[in-house]
Amino acid sequence: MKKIYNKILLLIIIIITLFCIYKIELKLNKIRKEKKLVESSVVYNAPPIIAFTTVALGGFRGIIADILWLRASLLQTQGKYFEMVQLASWISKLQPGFTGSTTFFAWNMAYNISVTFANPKDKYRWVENGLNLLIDAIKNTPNKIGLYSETAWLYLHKFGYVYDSSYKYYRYRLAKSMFKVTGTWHPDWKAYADIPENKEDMMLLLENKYNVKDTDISTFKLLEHLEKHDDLPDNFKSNLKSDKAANSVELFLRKMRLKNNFYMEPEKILKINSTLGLLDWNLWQAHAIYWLFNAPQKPLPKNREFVSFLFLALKQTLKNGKLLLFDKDNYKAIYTGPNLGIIKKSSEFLKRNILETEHKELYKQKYKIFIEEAIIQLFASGEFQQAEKLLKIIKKIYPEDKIYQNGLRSFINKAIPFKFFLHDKTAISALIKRNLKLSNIYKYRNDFKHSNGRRNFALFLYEAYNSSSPDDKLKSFYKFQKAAKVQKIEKYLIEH
Amino acid sequence: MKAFFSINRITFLALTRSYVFQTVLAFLLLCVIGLPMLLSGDGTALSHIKLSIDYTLSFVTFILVFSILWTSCTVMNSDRDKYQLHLVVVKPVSKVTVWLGKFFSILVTHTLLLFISMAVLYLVLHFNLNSSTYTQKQREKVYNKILTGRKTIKHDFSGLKQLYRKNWKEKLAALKKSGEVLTDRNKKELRQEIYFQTLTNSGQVEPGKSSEFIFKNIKEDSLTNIILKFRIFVGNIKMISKQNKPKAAGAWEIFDPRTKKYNKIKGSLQDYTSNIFYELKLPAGCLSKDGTAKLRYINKAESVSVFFQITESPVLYITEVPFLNNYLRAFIVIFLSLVLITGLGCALGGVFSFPIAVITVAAYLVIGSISNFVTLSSKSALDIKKEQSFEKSLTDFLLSVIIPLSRFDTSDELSSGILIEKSKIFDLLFFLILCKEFPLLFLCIYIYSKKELGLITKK
Repeated sequence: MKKIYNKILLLIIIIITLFCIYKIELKLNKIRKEKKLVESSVVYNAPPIIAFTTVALGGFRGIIADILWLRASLLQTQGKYFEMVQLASWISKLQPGFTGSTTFFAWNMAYNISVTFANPKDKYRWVENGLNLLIDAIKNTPNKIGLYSETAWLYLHKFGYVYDSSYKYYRYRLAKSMFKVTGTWHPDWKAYADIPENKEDMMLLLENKYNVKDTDISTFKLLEHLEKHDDLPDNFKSNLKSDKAANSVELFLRKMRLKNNFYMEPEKILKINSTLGLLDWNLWQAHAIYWLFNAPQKPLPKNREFVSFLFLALKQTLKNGKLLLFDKDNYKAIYTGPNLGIIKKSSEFLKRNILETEHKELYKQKYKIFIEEAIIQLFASGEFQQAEKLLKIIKKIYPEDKIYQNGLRSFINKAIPFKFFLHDKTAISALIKRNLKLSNIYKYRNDFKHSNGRRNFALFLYEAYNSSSPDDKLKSFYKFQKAAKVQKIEKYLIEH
Repeated sequence: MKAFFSINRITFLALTRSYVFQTVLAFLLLCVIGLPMLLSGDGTALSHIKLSIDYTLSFVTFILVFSILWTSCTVMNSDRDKYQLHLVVVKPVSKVTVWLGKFFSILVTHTLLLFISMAVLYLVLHFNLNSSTYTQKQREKVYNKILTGRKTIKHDFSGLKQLYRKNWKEKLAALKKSGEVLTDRNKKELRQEIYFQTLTNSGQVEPGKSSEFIFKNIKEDSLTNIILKFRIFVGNIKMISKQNKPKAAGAWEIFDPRTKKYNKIKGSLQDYTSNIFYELKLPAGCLSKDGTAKLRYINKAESVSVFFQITESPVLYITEVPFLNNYLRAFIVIFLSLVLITGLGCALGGVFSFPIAVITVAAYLVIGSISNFVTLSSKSALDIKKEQSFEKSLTDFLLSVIIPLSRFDTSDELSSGILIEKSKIFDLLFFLILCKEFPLLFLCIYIYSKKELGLITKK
């Protein structure tokens, strides 16, 4: 009997203890939620490796990620970077919900590690590793908007600014990679978008449209051949019977490469082009805009970071949004010029989607800066009518601003010192040189309007800031520029 | 001996026929073939091969250690757990022979697994390197930097200790003269400050001046392939923050003992960027008879000083042995770690029950690793006498008793092309295995031999 009593007593104690634990657990869970001690977001539609690590390792994945992080820090202090890519990739796979680790490692690779190398090629490898890490994370966790803004920022800051001495190399490599994927400087994105995405649909298209049956389009072999020779194998082409069919297959493969190498979709590119104007996809600003536009949860216009980056990307596009010169053997020959084609659509988009919303006050100043930049670029290119038109628009939006009241010339005179930081002769000289170079480039593109515009703008700057000196000096400088650069420009000119 | 070999053979056969052996072998093969395919380095051949060696060897060692730990504790307990030990001990065989027979069979089995894994890994590495799309230049880099056995020789800074002492005495004398009294805390801080000052000043090269670096104990037959690796820091913090990467022109010269003159090293005159490692190949015939090489760096910058972090660079890399030789040395070191774990597993498995033995050995290994980690952080280049602290005493005690398994890790050395020194192998064998492990083994074997095993036949 005593034994039975003991057992009952123990059972009661167990039940009471379990009840107490249950109560405490409830309270603890509430505190964890309130104090945000746990990552509550769930990763949906994750690839198998992410699903496996998050489910199979459970709570231990945090500990493993910590250990890997410690190893990464230790190796970095020792100057050993070989493992960094691998460790960063593992950590982001172990903690897919925590974008902070991915963005940290991407920043670390693109900024801290890249600068420890002297050679631009080595530097770019690390910038690219940083970008790839972010884009891989986007593939795995497409619902994390922080990854999109970080990717855009990396493009805008690393490629767009000149703080990094190797910025020209970065731009050169990106343009080269894009050219390798598309095979042309001006891809027909509509044609890309119309091509099917998978092998089965492509076979069906070949059969229905070109009457090509049972053709093996084993993508791996063809992709490998395209990668090596930038063309399809001759025997494969002859099997397809027509050039049009061969072009379609090539386009299909290039579309695949675009997805594999940049994780970009032509349909989305097409949409951005129709919204903001024709962007040059060989350049970094277009890539930045792509990630800003394709972030989930529609962060525009409510997310200030996204809006700021979009304004920055558009400003950079205005200044340097068109690839003008490129030499595949010399990265220093790369040259970019303004993309005026985006002004109309972009300003309309910004006005409609940002300025005419409840967030108006936040972005009024940014919009103003963008329009001012557009006016200056139009003026510099000799597009005075368009510049006047824009000035009228901005005058209406900002009637209190005196800078817009006295016409275009007055605005330019007042705005330029601030816009171009013309605080010393070196800056002025650099700006004059740039405009003269642009003038030469436009001349060889038979774009005489813009060529004259740029030359006049250079003269305007020279007169405005070197008024005491005779014009002969500038003229001789211009002649020198012309003689020295003619051959090079002709050789590396990017066609219209 | 017959009994020993019989037990050895029976245990070996039982182990190789067991699922555990087959599973471990499958895991090992998967690891050595699959891991190099899965790993992604920074995009260079160098990084891929380095990671393949580093990770694969670490995983192989981990799997084998885990397997040995489990197997040894199981084997030592299986006869007792199955109530069969009386079938062995009733025969005219000493318990020591039983123990030794089992110990060697476990060791042989796992050495065989290690041999298979390392042989396959060797082939996989060469196959990957030669069949991939790497350029010839990248391959050569891998052969020169990783698939080799290079000895590292640091600049001799023994004179620094004397200089530090001199500076310290001078400082104390100056303080005494001014009548300033130092507390213990201030004294410690001041010592640190003077240590860093001495270190920084020794590595400074003023504009237009040169600094000499002496490398000792270089073998005469290693003249052909000597690489100088170094990095400089240009100017001060202000300069670094102002410029993206400050540069300074400089050149290296090497002392020729025959002409007794310094000669310029080809290609060494250039603008060196701050905080970036450079490598230069040294010309032949630069070694004096006593195995010393003298080098000097001339700062050609007009107005800026450059600094060497002398505890780290410059350093000489000298190719001493081919990769296969270094690989075999790594094999021996891993084998010694297997001896350690097999010994511990069998010893404690003989004394305790299976779960207690496993936990005890695992705890032993973990504590060993932690104590080693703590010691590493308390070392300094000048070996300044540290104040005794509780942590240090505890660490010293733990290290005197426990063997840190991390000391047997050679994957980093092997994957960096650094020579695994014979002296290291001897140290591991003599000090860790013979001096530290064997007494413990003898004690455990003694307890095992005296243990009353009659009770287990009761069931």
